Amino acid sequence: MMRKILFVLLFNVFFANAQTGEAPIRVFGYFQNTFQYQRYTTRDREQDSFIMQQMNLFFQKDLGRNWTALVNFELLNSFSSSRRWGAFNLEEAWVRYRAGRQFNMKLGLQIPVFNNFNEIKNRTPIIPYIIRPLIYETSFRENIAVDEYAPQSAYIQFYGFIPGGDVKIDYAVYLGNSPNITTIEQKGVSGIDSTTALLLGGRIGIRYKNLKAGLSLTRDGSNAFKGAEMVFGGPAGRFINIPRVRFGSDLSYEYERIDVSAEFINVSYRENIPAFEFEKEFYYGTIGAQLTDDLYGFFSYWKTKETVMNFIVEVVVPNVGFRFNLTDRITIKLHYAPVQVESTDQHRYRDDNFDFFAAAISVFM
Amino acid sequence: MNRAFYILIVLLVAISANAQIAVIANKSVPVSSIERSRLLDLYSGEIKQWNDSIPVIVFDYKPKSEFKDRFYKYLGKSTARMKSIWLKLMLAGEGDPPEALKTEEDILNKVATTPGALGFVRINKISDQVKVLLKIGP
Repeated sequence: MMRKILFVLLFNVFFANAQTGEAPIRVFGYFQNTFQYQRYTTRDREQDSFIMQQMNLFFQKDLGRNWTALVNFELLNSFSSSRRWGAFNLEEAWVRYRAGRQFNMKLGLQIPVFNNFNEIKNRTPIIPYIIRPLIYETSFRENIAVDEYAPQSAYIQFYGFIPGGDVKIDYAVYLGNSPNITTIEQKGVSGIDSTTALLLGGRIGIRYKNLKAGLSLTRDGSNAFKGAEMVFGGPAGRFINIPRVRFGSDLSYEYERIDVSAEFINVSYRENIPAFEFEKEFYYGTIGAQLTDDLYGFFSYWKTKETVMNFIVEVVVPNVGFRFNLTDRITIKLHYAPVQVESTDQHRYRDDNFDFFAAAISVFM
Repeated sequence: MNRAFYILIVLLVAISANAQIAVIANKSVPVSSIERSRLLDLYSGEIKQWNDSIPVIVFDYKPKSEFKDRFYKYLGKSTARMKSIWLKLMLAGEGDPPEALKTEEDILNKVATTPGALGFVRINKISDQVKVLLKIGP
């Protein structure tokens, strides 16, 4: 069924453009297939599997001199509706107005700018990782509340840069929903975000030759503590839309064949109850080198630290990997990452350390 | 002795001319020279229009070559890094990679006939059909 829909869609796209002589809709995309091997170090358990990790399909059309529209569909984890595996998402559907380099406006569903990596986290052909730095890896959702760390979507964004020779000042300001899709129970329409807090965010950055640095900030509401009145007391619904502030900073630098990138994110919740102590932090740093024209290697270090009232959970992942361009459009990747989970609450997290090895083929079409 | 000296000079001049790179543009382009930082902005898709009017169209070479590597090195990037910039640009819906052509003659012809076009060739290949914005090299 899915194939039929795609065939009809593609046929109509090309046929309609041939008829009207308009700028054609460009169709492009990529997929990444992965073999993953996971070995738990503190218990006798192994796991290995092949997976179609991710596939994205883009439709882009120029709608005039200054207007461009883009739609991005994403299929995750060997998506199969008949087997109820994986996920099929509409990731982006936006139209952009470009007035010049100083001012661009994007309207519609989009991934907002936050630090360096958020906007490109799903572009598998351009990133060397198979598993992305912790909070950007959606398959870690079971262990890490990835949606809490970085904004997942926005609906209006203004961005651009102010040029000044070698120095450029980047800016982005956006508005969206708090990323908690929680339909109104019993009465809700599926897919309507019923959170009442809007997301307001932005980034300001500077570029000087091959050095890039920036500060990011968002303010929205979180429903992660829904029902917490059972612990802290108070009326029902008190912990819905707790004000959440994300602060981020990023730095990257390229020197000939070597590049370095690093990020820091802090997430804090503003609630005036002394015992209500929740905070999240994330760091990552990567050093990479273009070893030959086609071979790139990297070492990276990732860490999350979550303060959950009276205990702390840390996930630490030093990791190493390689990317080899088989052709301009086909890339082979290897990635090794020993994942260490440490907590002051020994009972809950003592068995979660594991070694992760993955090999992937990434194809851009 | 004198003859050998003159031959050496001629050879050095020839090698130097062969090593120099000329950044060429279509005659419709409204500038007569270009700085390195602006050239990088044009090649990396940061600037898409000449003085916010004529669209910028840049050309690249299909085959790998030391000459091409030298041009991108002058811009402060490796050829692999430039490819990655163009792919990122495309996947962000922000623009297209440059059209890649096979030979310097192809680039010269395309630049001469495409309004707003920009390319690079060895200095001994230039003709009066295009304007030279910058000379790079020894």
